[in-house]
Amino acid sequence: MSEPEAKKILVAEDDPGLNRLISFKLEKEGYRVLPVFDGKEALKTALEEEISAIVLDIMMPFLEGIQVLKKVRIAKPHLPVIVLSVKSREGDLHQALELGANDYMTKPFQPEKLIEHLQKIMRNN
Amino acid sequence: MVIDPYLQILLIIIAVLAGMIILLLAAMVMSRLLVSLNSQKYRLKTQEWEDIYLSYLYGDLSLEEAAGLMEGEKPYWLWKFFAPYLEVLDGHDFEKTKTLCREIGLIHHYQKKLHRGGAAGKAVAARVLGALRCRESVSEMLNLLHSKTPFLVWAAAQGLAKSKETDPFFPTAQALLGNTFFTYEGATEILAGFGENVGPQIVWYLEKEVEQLPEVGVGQNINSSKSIVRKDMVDPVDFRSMMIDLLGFFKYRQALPLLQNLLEKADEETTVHILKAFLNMGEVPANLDLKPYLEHRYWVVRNFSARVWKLTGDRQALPVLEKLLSDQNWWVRFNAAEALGSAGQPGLEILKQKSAGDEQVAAAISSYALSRSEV
Repeated sequence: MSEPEAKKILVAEDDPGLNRLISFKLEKEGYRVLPVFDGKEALKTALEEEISAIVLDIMMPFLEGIQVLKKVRIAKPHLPVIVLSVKSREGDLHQALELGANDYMTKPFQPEKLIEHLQKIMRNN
Repeated sequence: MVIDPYLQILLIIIAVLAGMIILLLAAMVMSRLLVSLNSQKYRLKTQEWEDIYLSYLYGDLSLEEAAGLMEGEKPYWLWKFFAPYLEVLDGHDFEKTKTLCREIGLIHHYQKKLHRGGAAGKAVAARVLGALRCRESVSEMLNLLHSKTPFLVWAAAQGLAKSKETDPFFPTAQALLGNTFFTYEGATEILAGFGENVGPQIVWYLEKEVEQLPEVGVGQNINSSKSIVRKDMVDPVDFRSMMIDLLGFFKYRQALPLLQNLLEKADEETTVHILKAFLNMGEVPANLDLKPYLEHRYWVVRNFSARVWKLTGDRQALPVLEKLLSDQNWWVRFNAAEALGSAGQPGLEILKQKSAGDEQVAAAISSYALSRSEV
């Protein structure tokens, strides 16, 4: 019997270190990770790939996370999305939640907590 | 063939100059090459360290194994590698990273630099040890706040802010505001690094200020004669304003009742900062009466009040906002019109009436706000 295919998670975070940190942890948990480093790439991957969830940074080059979320929500209204931001951009976080983000985390954070939240959302979904 | 001696001298000068230019170009090429080689080496190192570090962080490598693979490397490179992780990590992962930094000797190296290094070394050390939240180095960083070199004061303040310790907050704020090298904005930005944990301290400080301020009516410009901060070092009004700005920046909403109390006794400058804090917090005290501030004699207060009005939506204040459409200051007129534009039907009605009225300035700004609300 073949192993069930691992769930694919899109990690959209422009900071390479943080992206790697999250991706590494997700891979260890058995997910397949699609890491991207800017908003345009995030949108393209989110729309083209069969993914199970997105970890989405708000501040990214070329296209902001909010814009990505807006467009993703139209095409995939039920896709679990966790947004990442710094606390001082509270307005953006509110906007993201209004646009249908399932949860958010403010930096600094514990990657383990992020994974916990993500798994919880995916279960409830 | 005999060469003219003058020509000979000229040729020698040209040859020397050409030689110097060639040497200079060679030095530039060499240094560029070295930089590129170094950065390539650093890139390779970081790839190697990334695997070690992440394996350690997530339990595949022990502390001793990871440290064994990383120690002995260039401290500054190691620091450059760890700095972005320390910025975004919290809790257990942060502590684990700090333990690794200690084990590989990074903390010890920079503690020595902070203690005995030159100015540049001390400055880097303060920032590194701050980011690593090394409590044991706080007192030495506090000493650097008294340095005559602004660069060192800046580095110490940065380090202390990043250390997340709350005790050094007031000394750092005093040192930054008392040093003419720093602008108010620059100092505020550094102090914001302390994070919202200093909220209770700021509230404590402002509560003391409220106790000492005399009872005055709105718009009377009276400052405290007694202040907790050292007046020989900083201007108490600047200091108070900065504390209020920080509460706004931290969105420290627990301070709303205090800010309301302070507002009742505040001078013009403080009033402006309190209104700005409300805007940053996105919230106002429940029973705030904005009318006196919308009618304030100082245009900046009227201007901020009009912006704050959007947070209250208080219909009772609509007639005052209507009056502000004819204010002598363009910004006040603009923000009053914006507020009315956001007030739903009653606000739009006022704007429509005014845009068709005889008063030229009110008509102009009303038409402008109406066109914006239609968009």
